[in-house]
Amino acid sequence: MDAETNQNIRVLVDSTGRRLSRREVLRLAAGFGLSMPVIAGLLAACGGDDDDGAAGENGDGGEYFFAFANVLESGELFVQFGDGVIEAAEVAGVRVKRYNNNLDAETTLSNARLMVQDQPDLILEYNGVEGIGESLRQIFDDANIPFIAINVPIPGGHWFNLVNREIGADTARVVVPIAQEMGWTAADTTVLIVQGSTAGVEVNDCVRYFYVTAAEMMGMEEVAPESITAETTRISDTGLQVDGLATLEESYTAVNNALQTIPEDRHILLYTINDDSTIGAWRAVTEAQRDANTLVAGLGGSVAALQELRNNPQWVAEGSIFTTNWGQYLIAMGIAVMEDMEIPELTKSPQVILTKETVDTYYDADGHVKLLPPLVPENEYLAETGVLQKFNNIEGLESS
Amino acid sequence: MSRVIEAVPMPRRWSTARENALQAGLQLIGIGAVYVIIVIFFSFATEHFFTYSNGINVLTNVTVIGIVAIGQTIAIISGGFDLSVSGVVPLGAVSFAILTNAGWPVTLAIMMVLLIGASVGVVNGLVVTIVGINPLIATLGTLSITSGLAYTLSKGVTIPFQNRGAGVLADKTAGGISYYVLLLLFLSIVGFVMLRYTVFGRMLYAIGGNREASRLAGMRVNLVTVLVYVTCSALAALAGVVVASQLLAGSATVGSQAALQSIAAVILGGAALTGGVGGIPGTLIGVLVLGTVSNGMALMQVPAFYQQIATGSILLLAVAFGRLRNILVGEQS
Repeated sequence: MDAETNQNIRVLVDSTGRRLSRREVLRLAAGFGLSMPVIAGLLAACGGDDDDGAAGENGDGGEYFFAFANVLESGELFVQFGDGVIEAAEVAGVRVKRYNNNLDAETTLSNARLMVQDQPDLILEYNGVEGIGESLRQIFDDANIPFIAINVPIPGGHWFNLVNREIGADTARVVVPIAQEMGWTAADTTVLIVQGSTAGVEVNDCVRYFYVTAAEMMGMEEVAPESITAETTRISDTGLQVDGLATLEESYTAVNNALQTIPEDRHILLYTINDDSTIGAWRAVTEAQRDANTLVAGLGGSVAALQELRNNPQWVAEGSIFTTNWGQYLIAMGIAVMEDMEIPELTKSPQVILTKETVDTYYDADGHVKLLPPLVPENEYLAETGVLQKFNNIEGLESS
Repeated sequence: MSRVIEAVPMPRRWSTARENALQAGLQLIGIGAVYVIIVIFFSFATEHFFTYSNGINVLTNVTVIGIVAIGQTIAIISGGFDLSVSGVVPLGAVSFAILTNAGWPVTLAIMMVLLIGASVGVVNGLVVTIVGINPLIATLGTLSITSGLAYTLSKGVTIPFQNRGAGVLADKTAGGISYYVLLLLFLSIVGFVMLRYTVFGRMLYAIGGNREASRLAGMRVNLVTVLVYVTCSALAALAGVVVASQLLAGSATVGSQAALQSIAAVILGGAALTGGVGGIPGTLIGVLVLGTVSNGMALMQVPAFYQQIATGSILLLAVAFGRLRNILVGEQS
């Protein structure tokens, strides 16, 4: 469409030369007007320096330069994790350039190529897409740059992750004695676990190891952990698994349905793969007025869950993985790699099972971390870098 | 100057009101029969199914989709549809949690959430009518925007109610039925009366049946279309309030399946994506079919993946059944 001059009046014509009616012009104008905010929003979202690709760089830094690709730069958990890495780098005097993998394979690979162009000393790669590890390894190896894989392992790299099976088993070790003290036995108790079927085997280890450990401690029918898969619904006479898809709403619905099949006089041990799922599941239990007969434990250390742990007598444990503080461990780990220290196959993230007695030790009333648990023996090499001491927040580790 | 108006053929379904009513009635009986068969099957398949508490449980589980589906029925009858409900539900839930936590009275917070939903509907309606963008694209865009807004407002985390009294809609009546279930019934009745007995309702069928003919007949098609999207979005926002009341928390992850499930329920209930056909009773049965199948399979402890396959298969079978019956009715008439 263009404009032509006709007796000093500019008349809009379309590509075929047809004059447009007033209504059509208004429609186009309205369309343009309505589209602009959307386009502007999209441009702002795409063009900002906080999205795909490089997402900024901290100060001049010191001896080392790391590239860091965060899995996603939306959602409080990931943003806080990313900010934590940058803050930790500043404390440690490491220069870091930050990227956003946007939970997307193409962006992740594109970022990997961008990162190696900068020739950093080390790459911190938080890739959320399983199956592209080999491609990433090739890019990093070709550039001869060492890397640390976060959460999802990458062949040939160092690996930093939480250990879901330990969290599940440790949580059961806290919950079961409380149940036994209340007189609950294998004969009158059902373990109800809420998996997230699409989250993969490793993530769901927490719930299946919770069942396996609880069954062993309470004398319930024991099953092998690997026999509890994403398709398992009935684990045993005393164990049920439902799929909450790791979300609040689906967990609520799934547990609503499951409660119909558990006789009302049975006690329930409830455990899920994350706090959102636990909150939804717990809501279903309370709506069914079965809360007095249920013990529940969460996973994640969210503000809402910590509030429940403090105030709800039935919420007896909370697995916390201190995601906001992973940065200081990663920077220390990176420096250990730079200094050719011996790095274990897996460097474990800090994790602890909080109880009503210990929650105030680790978190303040607003849900901020006060203290981190002591280093596990495999992680003691991190202290040798001297980095962790600068934060003065790890139990048993004196500040520098 | 004489003006030539192009003749617009009347669609066949307009040919006789009796035929239309017959088709709708048969569709309703058909999906009703399917529902009875499903209930009988699960009653024999699992002992936990045919109980009062599980009946309440099914109603509880379908309420959110039911409320969304009422709005979706109106949109589909008028010849459009609304994907943005999947973003408006979480936006409503998150907004309600934020407002009540900020100390707003529940009634005022609900009204504000309805206003937010209605605003989204105005945008949808204007984009569809004035700009002339296909409802699929228009509502897909607003789905993304509203969903993003929900995540932005909640910062991606669940917002628990500070004041548990804000979940008043989830309180139970003497029979153990939550108020939100009664709300669904009330809205269904209002929707049914509106579609069946009001001029506005009949206009929706006319516009869905033939938009151009309706315009030439003097109907204010664009205005009605905007009102349709306003209603649909406001109901989706109300569904957000309901789900937040159920969970005593607002989250940006709720309602992600609302668009697909509500459209599936409406189609199961006998509506046509081409518009002009459908109704609230059919939609309600469609919602119940989906909810009951999901509930029954959960009670039978069918793995989640198979539940998805079975639900999709039932949807296809029911729609194919309805289509076959329409063809047969067409041949007879």
